[in-house]
Amino acid sequence: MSEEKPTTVWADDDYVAAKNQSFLSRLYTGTGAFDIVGKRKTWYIVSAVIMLICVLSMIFRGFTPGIDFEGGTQVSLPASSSVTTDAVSDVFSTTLGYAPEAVQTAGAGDAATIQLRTESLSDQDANKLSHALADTFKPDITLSDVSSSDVSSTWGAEITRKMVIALIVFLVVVFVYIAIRFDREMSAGALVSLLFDVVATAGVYSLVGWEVTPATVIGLLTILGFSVYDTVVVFDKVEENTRSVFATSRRTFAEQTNLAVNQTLMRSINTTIISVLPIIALMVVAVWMLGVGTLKDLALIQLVGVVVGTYSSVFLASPLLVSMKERRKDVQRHTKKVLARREKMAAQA
Amino acid sequence: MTSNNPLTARRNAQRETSPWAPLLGFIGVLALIFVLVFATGDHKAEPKLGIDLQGGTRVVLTARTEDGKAPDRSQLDLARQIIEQRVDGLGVGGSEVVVNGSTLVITVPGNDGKQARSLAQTARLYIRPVIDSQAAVQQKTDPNAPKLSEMTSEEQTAAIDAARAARQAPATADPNDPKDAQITRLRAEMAKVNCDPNAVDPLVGYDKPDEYLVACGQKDGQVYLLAPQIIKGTDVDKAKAAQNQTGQWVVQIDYKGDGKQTWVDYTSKNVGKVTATVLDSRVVSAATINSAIIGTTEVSGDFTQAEAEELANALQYGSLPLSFETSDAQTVSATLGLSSLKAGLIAGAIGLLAVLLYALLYYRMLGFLTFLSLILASAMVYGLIVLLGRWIGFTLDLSGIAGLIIGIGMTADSFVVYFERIKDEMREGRSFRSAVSRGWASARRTVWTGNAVSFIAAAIIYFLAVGQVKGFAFTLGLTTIIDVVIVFLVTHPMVVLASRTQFLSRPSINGLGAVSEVARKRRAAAKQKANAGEDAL
Repeated sequence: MSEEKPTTVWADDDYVAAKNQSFLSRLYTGTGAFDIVGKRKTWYIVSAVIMLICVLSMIFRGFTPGIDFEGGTQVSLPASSSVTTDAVSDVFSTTLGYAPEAVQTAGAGDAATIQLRTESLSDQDANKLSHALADTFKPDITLSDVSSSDVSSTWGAEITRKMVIALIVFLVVVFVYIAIRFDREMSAGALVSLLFDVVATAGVYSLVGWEVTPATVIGLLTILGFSVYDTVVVFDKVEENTRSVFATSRRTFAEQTNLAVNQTLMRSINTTIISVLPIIALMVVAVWMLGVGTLKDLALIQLVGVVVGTYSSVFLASPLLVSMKERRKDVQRHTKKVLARREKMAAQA
Repeated sequence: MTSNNPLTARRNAQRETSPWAPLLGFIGVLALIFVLVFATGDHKAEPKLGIDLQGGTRVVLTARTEDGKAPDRSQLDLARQIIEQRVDGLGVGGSEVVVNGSTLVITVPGNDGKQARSLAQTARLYIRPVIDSQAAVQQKTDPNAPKLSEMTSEEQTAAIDAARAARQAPATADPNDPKDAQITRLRAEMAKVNCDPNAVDPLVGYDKPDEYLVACGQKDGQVYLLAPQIIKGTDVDKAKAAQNQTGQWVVQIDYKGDGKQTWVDYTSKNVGKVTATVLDSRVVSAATINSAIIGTTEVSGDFTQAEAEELANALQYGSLPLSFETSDAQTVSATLGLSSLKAGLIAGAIGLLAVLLYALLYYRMLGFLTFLSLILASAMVYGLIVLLGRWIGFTLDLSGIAGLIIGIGMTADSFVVYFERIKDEMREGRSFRSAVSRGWASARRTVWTGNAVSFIAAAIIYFLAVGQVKGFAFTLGLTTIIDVVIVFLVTHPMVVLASRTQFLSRPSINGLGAVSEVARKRRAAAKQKANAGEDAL
């Protein structure tokens, strides 16, 4: 690999990979000198492929709308040896005279529950049903063990509408904030990687095929925060490294950015691991103890979002920033100057 | 410049602010929070839990206007007050009704709240002609009579049916026929009705408007026999409290639609007769028609100003095109709530532990400081959640717990940013001690910028999104703020203290050995290069 002609020219210690060290130790000490910005075309292709898969999945597989988006009634009760999906389904049919849409088991062990889905029940029917369930499964079930959730079909649309508004406001505010705090190219780079994160996360969720619940929507919204946060941390280092790049002709803008990415690489990995650990704990515990529910959906979205968010800030936002910056005249001029100086020095030696 | 000089170095060290001041400040604030936790409210360090964590019923009512526009805030507030009264009627402690955007959220803890699902009806107002009235006969109210909330829904339905059977008669009955059995029955019933305001009346809000009805006066101590409704509350166009020429408070009503003409026709044919304004099966006012009423109707009923306004509001409310639709009704059994809470807490503890192990493995001594910081941050967040529950009614729900758990990772990230900067500085060849102060200078800015973005995100989500999203955004925003506080007041001072301790500065303890090694090699290489250069000369 290192024998290939590098697209970025390494000039000093910071740019030469410490070959005598292992990959991990290069990562740990920040002496990896991984040519991420130089190989940016590769990353664009990788990102585009990911995007394509996710968009295709969203188009063809779509999402499984949860009760909040379809409307209907969901009744859940603790499962036991006598309380089985068939038995619950029977009680429903004999009480109300028609079959429920779906009856399934969620969770395991003591936390296993039976969840019954049907079109919206009237208060009276819902009451009849819970009484019938409590009567049939005495003494396993008392009336107070029966949980139910009743959602109108317009509620999901309302949630979605609010979310879209929040998304737009968020994008505008963040764009302005980054443009003021850093500059316009960084703002644009952060937004592109933000969109990538949202699409990729939604795409993975569509691939997994879990129900879309309000929790999923919450998760997606928080991905925005994490994504921008992560990009901003990397850009902060980029800005620091490139602040006085024009003052000398030692390194190009691309090289300085690549150095920043390398210097923050371990931070990115650590943060991802540290963020992901509690999320995995949440996911495992939620699935193990509760089966389907708010916590599980949130956890999956967060898990994917954090990983994708880190990927995009390193492999998409920073390369994009360089691509955009290199369209600028002053950066082009400076890069030429640096390369010319290097050729001269090489000729001298 | 000459920092190698021990004298200047000492002077520089003295100029640095003492790390003890922020640490002590933080401990003071934390202590204050917990003093408040235990000294105010119910003195218990328990956050206010959402119904998904303690069991109960939550109903989200979305206001629907005829023209699809957002409902007026004052209309919503009025609706909230009325629904709140109804929820209070259920007699379950800790119930609340809050306005959230254009929705009302009813929360009733415990297993008795299922009835909250049926509170969504608009206050039901009807104008009914009065056939007869008499003073209500005082009845004994049984203090042990079951409250509505203590009845099962079946019992409730039965109670309503029984009350209807006793106090209502079909429209086919003829009040002018003294032998009409139905009317005779209702007249007999008038003496039996318990009009005590404290009595449980299952019929409230459930009477059939198109039937005859025996109803109590709201405050006049009368009991009325009423004919089927002639005008519905939805026909009220405007209602407002005003003073008439004699200075009495009255309510002025304008009808609209069919009601308008019906009212003109009815009043012109029934001069001298009494009509009643009936709100939720209680007679608010009964007044004699003095002449045909065209235009604004004045309802006089010996009102105080407040009462007139209240009635006007109620009429206006009853007449509102604003009706509520149950968007989301959730009853969570207490067992499920408890296991959700447990799951959240276990996940949080495991998450915290996993972060600690990783941090110890990776950062060793700095990892220990990370852990200490996270524990202090958790304590502060917990205390604040308890206090905010008391002060602004913040309710911790499942999504809030998820926000806290995800907050662990985001809080730890600030430390990672800081420690990685220290590593950067050490790789450049600086000592641990000087790397700390230089690393902090640049990390501080990153922490600010990063957390500002996170906070913006949380705030926007909090203010613009609906329902469960709010809990998540709130805890995430809170942890973001606490994160900054902890990094500045706890983590950084502790790292500074560590860097001043010889033992903790040892590479094997602080976990920065590999980086020091790189720096050492680089220095050696540079020296070699320089020497080689000299040789060449």
